[in-house]
Amino acid sequence: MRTTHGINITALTKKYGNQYIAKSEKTGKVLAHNERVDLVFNKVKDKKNIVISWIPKYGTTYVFTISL
Amino acid sequence: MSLQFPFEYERISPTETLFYPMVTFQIKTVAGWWKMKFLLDTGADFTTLPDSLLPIIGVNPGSLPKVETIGVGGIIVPVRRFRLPLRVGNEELVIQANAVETRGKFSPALLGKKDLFESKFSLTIDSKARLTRIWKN
Repeated sequence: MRTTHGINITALTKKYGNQYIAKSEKTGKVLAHNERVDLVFNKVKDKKNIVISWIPKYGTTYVFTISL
Repeated sequence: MSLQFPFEYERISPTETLFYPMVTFQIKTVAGWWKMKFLLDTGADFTTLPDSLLPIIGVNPGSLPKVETIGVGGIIVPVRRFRLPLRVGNEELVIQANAVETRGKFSPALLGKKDLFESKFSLTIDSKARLTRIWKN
Protein backbone atom coordinates (compact mmCIF):
# COMPACT_ATOMS: atom_id res chain seq x y z
CA MET A 1 0.00 0.00 0.00
CA ARG A 2 1.34 3.36 -0.96
CA THR A 3 1.99 5.74 1.96
CA THR A 4 3.15 9.30 1.99
CA HIS A 5 4.10 11.85 4.59
CA GLY A 6 1.75 14.28 2.90
CA ILE A 7 2.70 17.58 1.37
CA ASN A 8 3.83 20.32 3.73
CA ILE A 9 2.24 23.57 2.58
CA THR A 10 3.15 25.63 5.65
CA ALA A 11 5.44 27.95 3.71
CA LEU A 12 2.73 28.47 1.08
CA THR A 13 0.08 29.27 3.68
CA LYS A 14 2.32 31.87 5.27
CA LYS A 15 3.12 33.53 1.95
CA TYR A 16 -0.05 33.02 -0.10
CA GLY A 17 -2.77 32.25 2.44
CA ASN A 18 -6.36 32.91 1.33
CA GLN A 19 -5.35 33.18 -2.28
CA TYR A 20 -5.30 31.06 -5.39
CA ILE A 21 -1.93 30.17 -6.87
CA ALA A 22 -0.82 28.82 -10.21
CA LYS A 23 2.09 26.47 -9.79
CA SER A 24 4.30 24.86 -12.41
CA GLU A 25 4.13 21.08 -12.15
CA LYS A 26 7.65 20.82 -13.52
CA THR A 27 9.52 23.35 -11.39
CA GLY A 28 7.18 23.74 -8.41
CA LYS A 29 7.46 27.48 -8.81
CA VAL A 30 4.47 29.71 -8.04
CA LEU A 31 3.85 31.71 -11.21
CA ALA A 32 0.85 33.76 -10.14
CA HIS A 33 -1.25 34.40 -7.05
CA ASN A 34 -4.38 36.40 -6.29
CA GLU A 35 -7.59 36.25 -4.25
CA ARG A 36 -9.44 35.93 -7.54
CA VAL A 37 -8.92 32.75 -9.49
CA ASP A 38 -9.70 34.39 -12.83
CA LEU A 39 -6.82 36.86 -12.39
CA VAL A 40 -4.48 33.96 -11.64
CA PHE A 41 -5.71 32.08 -14.69
CA ASN A 42 -5.33 35.08 -16.99
CA LYS A 43 -1.71 35.44 -15.99
CA VAL A 44 -0.77 31.86 -16.87
CA LYS A 45 -3.31 30.74 -19.46
CA ASP A 46 -0.70 30.53 -22.23
CA LYS A 47 1.54 28.25 -20.17
CA LYS A 48 1.45 24.46 -19.88
CA ASN A 49 1.63 21.98 -17.00
CA ILE A 50 0.06 24.31 -14.46
CA VAL A 51 -2.00 23.42 -11.40
CA ILE A 52 -4.31 26.00 -9.85
CA SER A 53 -4.90 25.60 -6.14
CA TRP A 54 -6.26 27.57 -3.26
CA ILE A 55 -4.09 28.07 -0.23
CA PRO A 56 -5.61 28.24 3.26
CA LYS A 57 -4.68 31.14 5.47
CA TYR A 58 -1.92 30.21 7.91
CA GLY A 59 -3.22 29.05 11.25
CA THR A 60 -6.89 29.32 10.30
CA THR A 61 -9.33 26.49 10.80
CA TYR A 62 -12.19 26.27 8.34
CA VAL A 63 -15.68 24.89 8.63
CA PHE A 64 -17.43 24.52 5.31
CA THR A 65 -20.90 23.15 5.21
CA ILE A 66 -23.18 24.42 2.52
CA SER A 67 -26.58 22.87 2.10
CA LEU A 68 -29.47 23.50 -0.18
CA MET B 1 -9.88 3.63 -12.18
CA SER B 2 -8.35 4.58 -8.87
CA LEU B 3 -6.78 7.90 -7.97
CA GLN B 4 -4.66 8.83 -4.97
CA PHE B 5 -3.91 12.27 -3.62
CA PRO B 6 -1.53 12.87 -0.71
CA PHE B 7 -2.82 15.00 2.16
CA GLU B 8 -1.59 18.55 2.31
CA TYR B 9 -0.78 19.77 5.76
CA GLU B 10 0.19 22.92 7.57
CA ARG B 11 2.26 22.96 10.73
CA ILE B 12 0.86 25.66 12.98
CA SER B 13 2.93 24.80 16.04
CA PRO B 14 5.66 22.26 16.90
CA THR B 15 2.96 19.79 17.94
CA GLU B 16 -0.08 20.75 15.90
CA THR B 17 -0.85 20.33 12.23
CA LEU B 18 -3.93 20.98 10.13
CA PHE B 19 -4.45 18.62 7.24
CA TYR B 20 -6.37 19.17 4.04
CA PRO B 21 -7.63 16.32 1.86
CA MET B 22 -7.04 18.03 -1.48
CA VAL B 23 -7.84 16.34 -4.77
CA THR B 24 -6.72 17.40 -8.24
CA PHE B 25 -9.18 17.18 -11.10
CA GLN B 26 -9.33 18.93 -14.43
CA ILE B 27 -11.84 21.62 -15.33
CA LYS B 28 -12.71 22.64 -18.86
CA THR B 29 -11.61 26.23 -19.34
CA VAL B 30 -11.67 28.55 -22.33
CA ALA B 31 -8.01 27.56 -22.82
CA GLY B 32 -8.57 23.80 -22.60
CA TRP B 33 -8.48 21.33 -19.72
CA TRP B 34 -6.67 22.68 -16.67
CA LYS B 35 -5.72 20.99 -13.42
CA MET B 36 -7.30 22.42 -10.33
CA LYS B 37 -7.15 21.42 -6.68
CA PHE B 38 -10.31 21.11 -4.66
CA LEU B 39 -10.74 20.60 -0.94
CA LEU B 40 -12.80 17.48 -0.39
CA ASP B 41 -15.83 18.62 1.61
CA THR B 42 -18.22 15.80 2.37
CA GLY B 43 -20.39 18.31 4.23
CA ALA B 44 -21.11 20.16 0.99
CA ASP B 45 -24.06 18.99 -1.06
CA PHE B 46 -22.74 20.75 -4.16
CA THR B 47 -19.27 21.52 -5.41
CA THR B 48 -18.82 25.18 -4.57
CA LEU B 49 -16.52 27.61 -6.34
CA PRO B 50 -16.04 31.37 -6.40
CA ASP B 51 -17.97 33.29 -9.06
CA SER B 52 -14.60 34.53 -10.35
CA LEU B 53 -14.20 31.06 -11.84
CA LEU B 54 -17.10 31.52 -14.25
CA PRO B 55 -15.24 33.62 -16.86
CA ILE B 56 -12.53 30.94 -16.91
CA ILE B 57 -15.00 28.29 -18.02
CA GLY B 58 -16.75 30.65 -20.41
CA VAL B 59 -19.97 31.04 -18.46
CA ASN B 60 -21.90 34.31 -18.16
CA PRO B 61 -23.04 34.58 -14.52
CA GLY B 62 -26.04 36.67 -15.50
CA SER B 63 -27.47 33.70 -17.38
CA LEU B 64 -27.43 31.42 -14.34
CA PRO B 65 -30.28 30.83 -11.89
CA LYS B 66 -29.77 32.36 -8.48
CA VAL B 67 -30.47 30.22 -5.44
CA GLU B 68 -29.92 30.51 -1.73
CA THR B 69 -27.89 28.01 0.21
CA ILE B 70 -27.37 27.70 3.93
CA GLY B 71 -23.93 27.70 5.50
CA VAL B 72 -22.72 26.95 8.98
CA GLY B 73 -24.65 28.85 11.63
CA GLY B 74 -27.62 29.26 9.35
CA ILE B 75 -25.93 31.90 7.25
CA ILE B 76 -27.69 32.31 3.91
CA VAL B 77 -25.25 32.25 1.03
CA PRO B 78 -26.43 33.45 -2.40
CA VAL B 79 -25.07 31.29 -5.22
CA ARG B 80 -25.58 30.74 -8.91
CA ARG B 81 -26.17 27.18 -10.06
CA PHE B 82 -24.15 26.02 -13.05
CA ARG B 83 -22.86 22.89 -14.72
CA LEU B 84 -19.14 22.28 -14.42
CA PRO B 85 -17.33 20.06 -16.97
CA LEU B 86 -14.88 17.97 -14.98
CA ARG B 87 -12.31 15.28 -15.61
CA VAL B 88 -11.78 12.78 -12.82
CA GLY B 89 -8.73 10.89 -14.00
CA ASN B 90 -9.71 9.90 -17.54
CA GLU B 91 -13.42 10.11 -16.83
CA GLU B 92 -15.20 13.15 -18.26
CA LEU B 93 -18.46 14.25 -16.73
CA VAL B 94 -20.52 17.32 -15.99
CA ILE B 95 -21.52 18.04 -12.41
CA GLN B 96 -23.89 20.51 -10.85
CA ALA B 97 -22.03 23.19 -8.95
CA ASN B 98 -22.58 26.47 -7.17
CA ALA B 99 -20.75 29.72 -7.76
CA VAL B 100 -20.58 31.86 -4.65
CA GLU B 101 -20.90 35.61 -5.02
CA THR B 102 -17.61 36.79 -3.60
CA ARG B 103 -17.51 40.45 -4.73
CA GLY B 104 -13.87 40.00 -5.66
CA LYS B 105 -12.90 38.42 -2.38
CA PHE B 106 -11.39 34.99 -1.82
CA SER B 107 -13.53 31.87 -1.67
CA PRO B 108 -12.11 28.34 -1.80
CA ALA B 109 -12.81 25.51 -4.23
CA LEU B 110 -14.82 22.85 -2.40
CA LEU B 111 -15.66 19.45 -3.82
CA GLY B 112 -19.17 18.41 -2.81
CA LYS B 113 -21.11 15.17 -3.11
CA LYS B 114 -23.58 15.85 -5.90
CA ASP B 115 -23.01 13.96 -9.18
CA LEU B 116 -19.78 12.44 -7.85
CA PHE B 117 -20.22 10.43 -4.69
CA GLU B 118 -23.89 9.52 -4.98
CA SER B 119 -23.21 6.61 -7.31
CA LYS B 120 -20.31 7.19 -9.70
CA PHE B 121 -17.31 7.31 -7.37
CA SER B 122 -16.31 6.21 -3.89
CA LEU B 123 -13.69 7.65 -1.63
CA THR B 124 -11.55 6.92 1.38
CA ILE B 125 -9.68 9.38 3.55
CA ASP B 126 -6.78 7.17 4.57
CA SER B 127 -5.11 8.70 7.62
CA LYS B 128 -2.61 5.86 7.87
CA ALA B 129 -1.29 6.30 4.35
CA ARG B 130 -2.00 10.05 4.54
CA LEU B 131 -3.80 10.18 1.26
CA THR B 132 -7.25 10.42 -0.26
CA ARG B 133 -8.37 7.62 -2.56
CA ILE B 134 -11.09 8.06 -5.13
CA TRP B 135 -12.20 5.25 -7.40
CA LYS B 136 -14.87 4.65 -9.96
CA ASN B 137 -17.62 2.28 -8.88
